[in-house]
Amino acid sequence: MAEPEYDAALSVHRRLRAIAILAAAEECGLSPLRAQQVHAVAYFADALARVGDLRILDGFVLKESDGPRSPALQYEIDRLVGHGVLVATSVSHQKNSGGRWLIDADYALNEPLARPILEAASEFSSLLEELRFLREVVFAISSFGAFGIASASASDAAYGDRGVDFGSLVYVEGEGSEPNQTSQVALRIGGLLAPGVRLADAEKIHLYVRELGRRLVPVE
Amino acid sequence: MRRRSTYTFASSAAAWCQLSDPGAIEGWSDEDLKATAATYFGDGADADLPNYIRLVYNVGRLILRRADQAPTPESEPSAFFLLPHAPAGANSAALEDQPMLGTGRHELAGRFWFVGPAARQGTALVLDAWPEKDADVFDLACEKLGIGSAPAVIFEARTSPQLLWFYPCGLANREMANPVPLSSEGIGLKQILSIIDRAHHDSIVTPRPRGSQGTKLWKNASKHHPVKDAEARIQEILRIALTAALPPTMVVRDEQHQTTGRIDLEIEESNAMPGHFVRHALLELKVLRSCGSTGRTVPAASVTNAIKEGVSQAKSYRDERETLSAALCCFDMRKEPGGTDCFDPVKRQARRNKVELRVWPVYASAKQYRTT
Repeated sequence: MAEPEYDAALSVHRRLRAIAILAAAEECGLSPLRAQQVHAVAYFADALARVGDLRILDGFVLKESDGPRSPALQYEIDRLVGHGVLVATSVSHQKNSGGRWLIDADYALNEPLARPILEAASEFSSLLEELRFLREVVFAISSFGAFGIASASASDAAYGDRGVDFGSLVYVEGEGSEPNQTSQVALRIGGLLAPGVRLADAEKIHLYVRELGRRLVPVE
Repeated sequence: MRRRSTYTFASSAAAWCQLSDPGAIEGWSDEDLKATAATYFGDGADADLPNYIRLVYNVGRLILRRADQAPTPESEPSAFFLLPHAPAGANSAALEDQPMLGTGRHELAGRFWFVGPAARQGTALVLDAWPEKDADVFDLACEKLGIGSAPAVIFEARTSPQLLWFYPCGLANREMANPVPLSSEGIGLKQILSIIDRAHHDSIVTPRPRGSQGTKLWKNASKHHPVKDAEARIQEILRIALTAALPPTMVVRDEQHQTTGRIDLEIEESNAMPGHFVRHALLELKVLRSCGSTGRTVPAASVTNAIKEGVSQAKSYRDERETLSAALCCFDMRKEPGGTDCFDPVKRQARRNKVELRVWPVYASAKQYRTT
């Protein structure tokens, strides 16, 4: 199979998302995030992207019992570690449910290098909107605590769809003109309120995640 | 000992239902979604506000959720600090991680909480007992833990009614504390306008107001040229002030678009019936100018027309949205602010349409403020 064509803009975009996710995680006390948690948040950002009219970076993802994981995002995370923008600790390797060996680590920002990147990105209005959107996704998902983030995808409308078996692809882009199930649910919530009530995108994200949380049962 | 909880998933009993509405989504019943929206209405409505305002808003909502869930009402205070992690000086043996703090299922009382702006998860420093003397609470935060400058909220559970005390600049700056009610009972237009009085005094009345974060309203103060988007800037100041002072059940929205136009500020609250709301107040804002931002003279007739239009807008929006009350709030940035005389041409119209009229002067210098 031919290697997919390298897309420099997409590569930069993925790195920016990784940095933004870890910055927001730091703000709400979740940092450092384990690799699987970073991937789960990045998945939710893609799954909810249509709510904020953002670009979806990973149009499909393999459904695995460990939760979503994007090899392309991991590649960019590794590069960021190499460049010193992210700090990786507690590095280990593990076999996932599909039998593949994966690197695992706790990731956090290296503030002196990461902050100027975020500040520069914030000067572009479209990127500023995206950074705000990602921040809300992380804040909303922080409801699950760091340890609940990765498993929350099991209950997600798209990733947790019972009609999609493990080992199959979850179409984050949606099918045809329809957004994926996750964005559909979030947008649906906004449409169920009384006439004249218009929710902001951030509210739709929070309410969707609250609905996910309602489906969680704690084991103390 | 730091404790952690684990979680599993349950399927929703109502989830896998037959779908009759083509827009409905399999596995996600509209009834479930409506119930969630009613319970958590207002979550995320603060997304574009500063973090210290988000703290008081979300802590208030957490306190109310806890009140719904607690088997017995919490009778001891608790304190919340805008800090993502516990300070280094905290006794680690007394720290308790609470990854699902936002559910309201966990005891808050007798603890110092370290949380982010959304207060959805956090770490608690569990105190042996809440200090009897208030001064000891401040001493613990400012001297022993060194977190006196972190924005903070104290939930005072021992008073009736229970209150939040908001310290936007931390417990070390206790003179800046504001009480925040937890219930909207007794809050109407009069109370809302008094919050605007205070915001005007603190942040709008002069270019260098007391306690201001420094929002710039003048392009050239010495020539009385306001900035072009003065109205938008005042709107933002008011939205922040109202969110910080109103109970956390009330959502302050700006720029709501509808058939008859765009509402500047609106205050709404979810009621007990899922999907239904009470719209408490609608505020139409106008900036009165004698000069534009470029120095162009604004004729007096334009000011009068703007006021007439404001009354008409406030009435139309209120009627369309069935809002309980409406006010036209004018900020007078003219060379010589003229007081309520500006309302003479519209007083009758406003009275007939039940639109409250208020005007606040905005001076170009502290000297002008003092001499006036």
